[in-house]
Amino acid sequence: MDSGGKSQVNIPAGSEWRFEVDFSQELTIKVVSGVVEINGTELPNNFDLKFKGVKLSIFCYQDSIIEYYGTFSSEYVSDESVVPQYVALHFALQNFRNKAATNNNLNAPRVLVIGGKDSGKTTLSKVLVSYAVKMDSFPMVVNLDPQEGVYTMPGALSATVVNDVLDVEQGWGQSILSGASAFHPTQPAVTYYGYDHINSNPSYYRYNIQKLASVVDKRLENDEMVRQTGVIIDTPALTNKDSSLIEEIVEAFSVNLIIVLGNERLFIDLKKTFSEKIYESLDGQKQFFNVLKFSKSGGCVDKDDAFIRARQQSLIKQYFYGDRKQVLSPYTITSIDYSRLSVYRIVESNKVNTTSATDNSENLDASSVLPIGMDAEEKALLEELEQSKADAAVMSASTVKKEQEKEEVPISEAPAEPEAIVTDGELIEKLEPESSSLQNAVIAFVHADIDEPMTKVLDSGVLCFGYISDANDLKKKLSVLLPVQGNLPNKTIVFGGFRYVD
Amino acid sequence: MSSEKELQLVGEDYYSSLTELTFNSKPLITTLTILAQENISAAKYITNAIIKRITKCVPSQKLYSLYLLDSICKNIGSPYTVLFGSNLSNLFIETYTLVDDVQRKKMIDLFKTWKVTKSTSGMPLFPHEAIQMIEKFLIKVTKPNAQQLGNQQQRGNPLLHSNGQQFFNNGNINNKPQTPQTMTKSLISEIGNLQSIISGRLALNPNNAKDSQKLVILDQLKNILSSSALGPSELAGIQQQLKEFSSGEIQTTNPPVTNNQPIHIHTPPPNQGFVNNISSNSSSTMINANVNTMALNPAALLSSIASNNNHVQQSPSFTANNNSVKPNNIDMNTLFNTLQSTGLINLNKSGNMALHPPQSNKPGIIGGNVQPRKGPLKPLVNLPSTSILQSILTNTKQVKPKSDVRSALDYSDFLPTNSSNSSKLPNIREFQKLLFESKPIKCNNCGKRFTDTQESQNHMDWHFRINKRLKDTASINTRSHYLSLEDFVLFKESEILGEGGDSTTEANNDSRDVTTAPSDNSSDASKHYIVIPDDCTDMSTICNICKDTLKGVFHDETGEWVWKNAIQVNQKIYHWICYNETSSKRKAEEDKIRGVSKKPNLNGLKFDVSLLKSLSTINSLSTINPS
Repeated sequence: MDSGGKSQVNIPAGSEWRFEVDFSQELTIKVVSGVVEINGTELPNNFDLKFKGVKLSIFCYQDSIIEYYGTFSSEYVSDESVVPQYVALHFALQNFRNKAATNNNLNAPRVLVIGGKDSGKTTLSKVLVSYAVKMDSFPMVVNLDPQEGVYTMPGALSATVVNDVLDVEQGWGQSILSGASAFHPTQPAVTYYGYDHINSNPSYYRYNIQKLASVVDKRLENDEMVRQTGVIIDTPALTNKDSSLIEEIVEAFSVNLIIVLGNERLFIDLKKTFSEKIYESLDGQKQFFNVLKFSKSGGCVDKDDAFIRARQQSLIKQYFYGDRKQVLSPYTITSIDYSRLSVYRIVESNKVNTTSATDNSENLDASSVLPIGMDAEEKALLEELEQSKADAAVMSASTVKKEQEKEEVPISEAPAEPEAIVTDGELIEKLEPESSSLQNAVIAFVHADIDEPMTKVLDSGVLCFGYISDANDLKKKLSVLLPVQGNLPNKTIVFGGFRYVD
Repeated sequence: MSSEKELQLVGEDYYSSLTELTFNSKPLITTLTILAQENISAAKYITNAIIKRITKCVPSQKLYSLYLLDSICKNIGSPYTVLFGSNLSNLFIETYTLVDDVQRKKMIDLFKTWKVTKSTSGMPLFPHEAIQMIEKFLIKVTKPNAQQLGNQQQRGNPLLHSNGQQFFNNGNINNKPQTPQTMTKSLISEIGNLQSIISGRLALNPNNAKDSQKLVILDQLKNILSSSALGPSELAGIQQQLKEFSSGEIQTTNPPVTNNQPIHIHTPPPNQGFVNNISSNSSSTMINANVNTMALNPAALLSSIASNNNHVQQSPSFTANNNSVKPNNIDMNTLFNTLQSTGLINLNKSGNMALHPPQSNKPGIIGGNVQPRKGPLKPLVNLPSTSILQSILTNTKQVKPKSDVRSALDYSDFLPTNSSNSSKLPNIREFQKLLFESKPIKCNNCGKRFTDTQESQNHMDWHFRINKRLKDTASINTRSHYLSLEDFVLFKESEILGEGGDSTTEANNDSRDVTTAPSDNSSDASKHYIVIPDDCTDMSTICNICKDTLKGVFHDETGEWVWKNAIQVNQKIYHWICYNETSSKRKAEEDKIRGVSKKPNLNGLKFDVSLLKSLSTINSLSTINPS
């Protein structure tokens, strides 16, 4: 749809204006009058905001007028909104925080948001984080959904202290840059899981959760400001089948409030599971614990696989190149000898037939997969380029190879304790560099030197991400795109299923 | 020891803070009210400052200073009510003639509240002459409003009797709902105010034995008020006398020369007449009191103050008092502490709770009137009643000058639970108050909100610098490396706020915890300058870090042309801030290389740049500035 010049929409107080913009489209909006918010972040008035590849709703506190132009998929006004409920929840949390600040026995809220696919988990997380920021506090947001990238790449799990308003155009905001960022940057803790589905390697996923949880725990111990505000945890789509995982997360992050979005059965089940833990008072005699249910917003829309892949590609691109507000200059190092590298692959123990970016090459024809800002002409060029690359064939070969591997690796239905997993080599495997696996791969340099043992690799966070633009098995050399200029980090590389086409 | 001159300075400072009152900012007004309260000894100068502001500022902003006047008088009361009262009618009428119709309407609304509001002591807010004069004026100029005002007059205005005795009675009748307890409280607060005035004067003239004695007596009076339950009539007697006494005091403090007009107070001027009044009053209203309780009779105590003041012959009650003064004198501190601990002289609390009643239809900063959502929202979470929310909002006492919204919120019975489906969600209007009106200033760039102009100004400065740097295509921007998990554990957000994007100043204002920062960079920077060398022809040079041009300015103190905020190291010129920022990072890096690791401060949130170990930041900076 094209607005064909500037249009205006009047939104009554308490209503939402919902709109969808594809990755191939761009919508510019400007708040002419009123007080409006996107996911809890207030929009400036008379200031152009540009959206691309989003499905958003704008909530109006006052009768508001919004001017918009550009291209978009849909827009409508709805007089239903879950925002007042979310805000009420926020103020309950705020009371919780105030109580915790004066009572040493009481933890500040550590909220776990769970629900099915497209139930509004990330939206609620953003609202709770934004409102905590409005209260001048520093909430920590933990993202356990590898499909998303919160202040980092997709495939990574992260814990981030949010210190300022969110960037509504981007969704969250940027991690720290060497120069200026349009919004206050963040300094996240990042661990790399490497796949976008938690079942690709459940053991490694849980391992990462444990790792991140212990980091979060220690940070809270050291950081009074954050401890007093608490943690908001966003999760991948979870159902009743995942109750053991939910219990593990609750335990690891000392969660004291579970919010179930739009899944009555899961809510009831969890109430039963945690019935002994539940203590609905803030008097500090026992740790507060509760499970709450919120209905799914009528504005929740399905994000199909193509949309998710496009979003992931755009996040990867953003990591290296920035966005329109802050343009970044990444740096390519060519002719790196294979021998200089120490590479581990995250084992894909289950081939999950969903939105994994592994099958990127097969989907290059779908326009939704194109990196942001690429038009048809470029697409044709790209296809030509792809065809000229013999690697394309190799890539599909690698997929086949992985499927074979899958049979070799025993699938653990009930994963053992993480300590036990470390030794059995099922999480990551050492790999000799070769173009078949590394070409176009998104790689993570972790904070472990190349000669350090695997346990150190497993326990380290990410230093930076790279992208292997070219790997030549004959010359035993490859080229890496790095975010920062300088030498190749003398660090171990870990990679999973994410591929990217620059 | 504060001298007259220092008090004058307080007034001047106050005036300069007043210039920020360019819009209807409740936090600002609250802050200014608190300031006025704290500097009650400089009341004369603060009053003058506010009057000056009202007369000097552009018409569109006059109203806000009037709101401040209103807030001060309603929350603090005497001496401000008396000081403003003397000039009120002229001030109001002059202002009224200068502002536009919208503001006039608001002034009338304001005036209406003056007619019905009682001061903290339960007395009418302003002298009735002033009120009457304004009313006459308003009736004259607003024919359509005349009827309305007239009605009001019949209904609610008890102030139209001028006879002292009647007036006194009226005060009582009108105060029917006021329980003896609240009356006692307000009286005590009034005494507190008086005491601070007297002690202020005492500071100027330490040898004034009368004043110190007055203090002691007032203390005693306070003691009596708080310890013994007095009947309403006795309280009323004290109230009246206290009022008279205080106007006497204020006039002593505030020489009549400063006022062109005679002060319109409903009591005779001090000195002889004052004393007569007191003695006659005490004889008429208090004479029935048992002679044995005379020592405890507050009215008699007051008379003794008056006698002290004016060297009249001692009345029997005074001698009685003298006996009781001495033992109490010794124990004054204990006495005062007891009073404080019982909360009876906690004036601040009661004073500020009533700031701008929430129902007053103030012009909302965030826009026009809001239509609350019709119909109840789906009940889900147990929420406090509207009144609680409102009281929280109004309770700006807890909002410190540098407002901390968190502390202003108190949801005592607010639990994260959805068990009670019967409770209703408050409509969004309530949220709006809490979320937006408590921070009235909104950034045009990012929508962030602020409570005071200084904060928002710093924020805008930050945007300006950031935008300038973002537009500068010459500088290379890259994504920094992530912290290791170990470093993340030790990381403090204050570091990132301090350096993320040239946001040194921002850090000091944006993150609350950086108050412990070793130094305020902006003030530091201004102290650094370089005298422009003679061989420099075009008066400008560039900073070797950010490559910005430094322009020469004339430095008044030295009489030389200088580059401001600059530092010269090894023949190279840098911005002080740029140099400081990079050198501290360089130092951090050096420390790291040398294996010097600073222990993290686990208790506080200190601005500790040495903890910054983000390699890339250092890399990129060293490429810009090879050293």
